[in-house]
Amino acid sequence: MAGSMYRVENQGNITIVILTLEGFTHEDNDELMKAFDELLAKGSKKMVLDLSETRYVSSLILASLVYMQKKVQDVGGQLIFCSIPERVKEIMSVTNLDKIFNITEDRAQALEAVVKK
Amino acid sequence: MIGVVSGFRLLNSYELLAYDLRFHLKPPQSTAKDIVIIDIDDQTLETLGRWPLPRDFHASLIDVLNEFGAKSIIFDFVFSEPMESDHLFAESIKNAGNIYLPLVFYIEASQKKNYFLLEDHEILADIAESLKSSAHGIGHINTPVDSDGKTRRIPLFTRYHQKLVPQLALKVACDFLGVKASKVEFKGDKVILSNKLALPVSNNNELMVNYPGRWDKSFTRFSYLQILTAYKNSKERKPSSIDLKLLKNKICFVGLTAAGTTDSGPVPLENNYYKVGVHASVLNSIIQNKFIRDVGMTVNTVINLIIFCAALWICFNGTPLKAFLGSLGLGLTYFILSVFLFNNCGIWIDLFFPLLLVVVSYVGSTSFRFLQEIRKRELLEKELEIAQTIQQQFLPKKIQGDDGLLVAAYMQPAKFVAGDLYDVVKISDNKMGFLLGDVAGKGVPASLLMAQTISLFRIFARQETDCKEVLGLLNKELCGKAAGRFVTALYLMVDFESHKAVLSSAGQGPLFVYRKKEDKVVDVELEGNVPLGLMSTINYTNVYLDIEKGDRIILFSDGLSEARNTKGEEFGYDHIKATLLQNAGNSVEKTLESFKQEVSLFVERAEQHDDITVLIIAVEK
Repeated sequence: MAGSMYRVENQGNITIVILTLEGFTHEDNDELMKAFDELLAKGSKKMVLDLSETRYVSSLILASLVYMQKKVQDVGGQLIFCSIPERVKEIMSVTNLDKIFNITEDRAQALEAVVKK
Repeated sequence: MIGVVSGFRLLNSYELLAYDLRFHLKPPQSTAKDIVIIDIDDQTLETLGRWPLPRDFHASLIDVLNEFGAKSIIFDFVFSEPMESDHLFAESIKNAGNIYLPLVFYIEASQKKNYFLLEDHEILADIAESLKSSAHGIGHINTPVDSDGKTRRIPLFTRYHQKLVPQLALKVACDFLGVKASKVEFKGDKVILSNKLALPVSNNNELMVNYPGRWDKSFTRFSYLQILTAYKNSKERKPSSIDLKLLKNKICFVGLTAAGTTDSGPVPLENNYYKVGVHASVLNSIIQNKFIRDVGMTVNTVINLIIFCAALWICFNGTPLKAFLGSLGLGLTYFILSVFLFNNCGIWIDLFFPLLLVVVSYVGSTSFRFLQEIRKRELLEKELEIAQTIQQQFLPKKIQGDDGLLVAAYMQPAKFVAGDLYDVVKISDNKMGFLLGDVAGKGVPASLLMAQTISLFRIFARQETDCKEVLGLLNKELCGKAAGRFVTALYLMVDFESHKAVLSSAGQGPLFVYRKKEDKVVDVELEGNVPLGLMSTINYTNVYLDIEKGDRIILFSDGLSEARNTKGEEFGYDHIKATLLQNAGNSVEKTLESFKQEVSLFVERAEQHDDITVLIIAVEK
C-alpha cells in the first residue's frame, strides 16, 4: 500500500493496517485505493484497520474508509476498525458513519472480533 | 548549427582541454627501447661551463657514443653560429656518419591552415656551413603551439625554396625504417612517404604528438656529463655511475634540460616539458606505429548530430526523472567511449561539444516541458473557472425569503469548484425548504455529484413534502451512482405560520438555533442517519422543532467549524454559537458578513482546506 501513509502487519491470516494519512491528497487517495485493492487481490480477507495514528479524517478519507468497508464485504471478508482517536470518533459520529463501520476500542478486541466471525 | 560549430571548431579551446583530459586519463605507454635522451642538465652546465657549451665537448660525446655503438645521434639545439672548435666537431660528425642536425624556420604569429606547406619559409637558425655538409640528416625542429600555448602537433614538412624539409624526428624515423622520403603524398588525413609509410595527420600536414607519458616517466635518460665522466673513468679503470654499453644501438637525442632554459613549454600532460622530449615522442610514435588520429570535421559533425538526436529522443520520451538519468547515462557512456577510443585506438573525437549538446538537450527539453505544464495549468484553470461559473448556476441566485422568513447564505469553495451544496425551495405560501449538504471529497468529482444532488433535490422537493421521504428518495437515487462517494445532507422545512419546523439529517449536522426569548443559542438534537449514497435501505427520521418570531436558525457545513488557523486550531462550534449570539439583533445579511469576517480573522493566512457553507434563517413573523 501507498508509501508512508500506512504500515502493514500480519498476525496469522489477519492483516493489520495502521493508517497515518498525513497530508492526504486526491492523488494519495487514488494510490491508497489501488493498493488496498491489490491487498484484497492477494487474499487478505480478514482485516483490522488501526486508526490510532490517524489524527484527522476529511470527508475524502471517510469516503475511502467506506470504500474499503464495501470492498471487503463484497469479497465476503471482514473489516474491523479499532483504536479510533476521539476527534475522529466525533467526526464519524456527526456523519453517522459509526453506524455502518464495525468499531472496537482497541486492537486486541478487533483481533478477537475478526477471529470469532 | 551543429555543423557550423563542429566544422569551424567554434569551441576549439574547450575541445583542446578535453583532449588534454584524455591524456591525463591515459595510462603511461611503453617507449621504444631504442630511444634514449641525453640531458644537458644543470650539473652538466655547472661542470662543463655556461651555455652554449664548447663544441669540442659535443665532439667528444659523439666519439664516445659511437665507440659504444649508438645507432644515431640527434641534436635538438642549433649550431647556427661558427665557433672555435667547429673543426673538431665537424670531423667527429663526418667520422660518425650518423649525426642529425636541426634547422629552425621563421614562423609568423598568426598561422593559417596548411601554413607550413603553402609558402616558402625563411630559416631563422641555420646550420653552420662547416657542419652542414658533414651531417647525415637535417630536419626542422619547429614546434608550433595551439591557441593556449601548448604543443600538441608538429608539421611533418616545411617548405623552403620550393622544396620540402622534413621534421627532424621524421627524418630519423625514415632512416630507421628504411623509407626514403623521395615521394611525399598529402592526402588530407594522411601523409604517405614512398608508398611505404603512411602517417595520419590533421590539416594535411600536422602530426598529433603522442606523448607516451610525463617527462620524468617516459624515456630512458642519461646525463651528458655522466656519459663523458663514465668514459673517462672507464679509461682510467675507475668505477662508473653508468654502463656505457647500454648505449649500443640506441637512437640518442641530445637536448638542453637545465632549469631556467627556454627550451621547454607546456604540453597536454604538464606545463614544463622539454622540447627534446617532443621530438623523441614523435620518433617513438612513428617507429611504434602508435598515432593519435583526428577523425576530422565530417565525422565529428556526424557524431555530434547522432548524440544530439539521441539526447533529444531520451529527453522527450519518458518522465523527467528518466530524461535526467538517460541524459546522464548518455553523457557518461559517450565520455567513457571517447576515452576508450583515445587510449586504446588513438582516435580523437570531439568530447566537449557532444556533452554540451546532451546538457543543452536536457535543459531545453525540461524547460519546454515546464512551459507546457504551465500552459496546461492555465488551460485547466480556465476550464475550472468555467466549471465554477456553471456550478454557481446551480445555487440559488437570489434567496428570496418571504414576509415570514429572511434568509441569507454563502458558499466559499476551497478549490475552484465545491463539494458543498445548499438550496432553498418555496413549498407553499407559508412554507420554505432548506437543504444543506456536503459531498465527500473536493474538486471536480465532488462538484459533479453536488450538481446531480441539487438537481434531484429540486425534483423530489416538489413531489414530497415530508423531509425524511425526500432524503430517502435522494438516497435511493444516489446509491450506486456516487462512484464511491457519499453526501451528507440536512433538509429543513419551516412553516412560519404554524411556527413549526421539521428536519431530517443524513449525517449532516449539528444544527444551532438562537432562541430570542431566552437569548441563547441551543443545539438541536438530531436523530441523524448515515449519509446519502451508502445504503439504499435506510429509513431516515424527522425531528420536530417549535420556532418563534425572532429566532434564528443556522445551517453550516463542517468547513466552517473545522476552519483552521496557522496554529492548527479549529474555528469550532463555540465560536459559531458566539457569533450567532452576537448578531442576534442584526439583519441576516449583516450576520452572514460577520461570520465571513470572523472566519477570515481567525484563519489569517492559513490555506482553506474545505468548502465553507453557511445558511442563516431568521423567523420574522
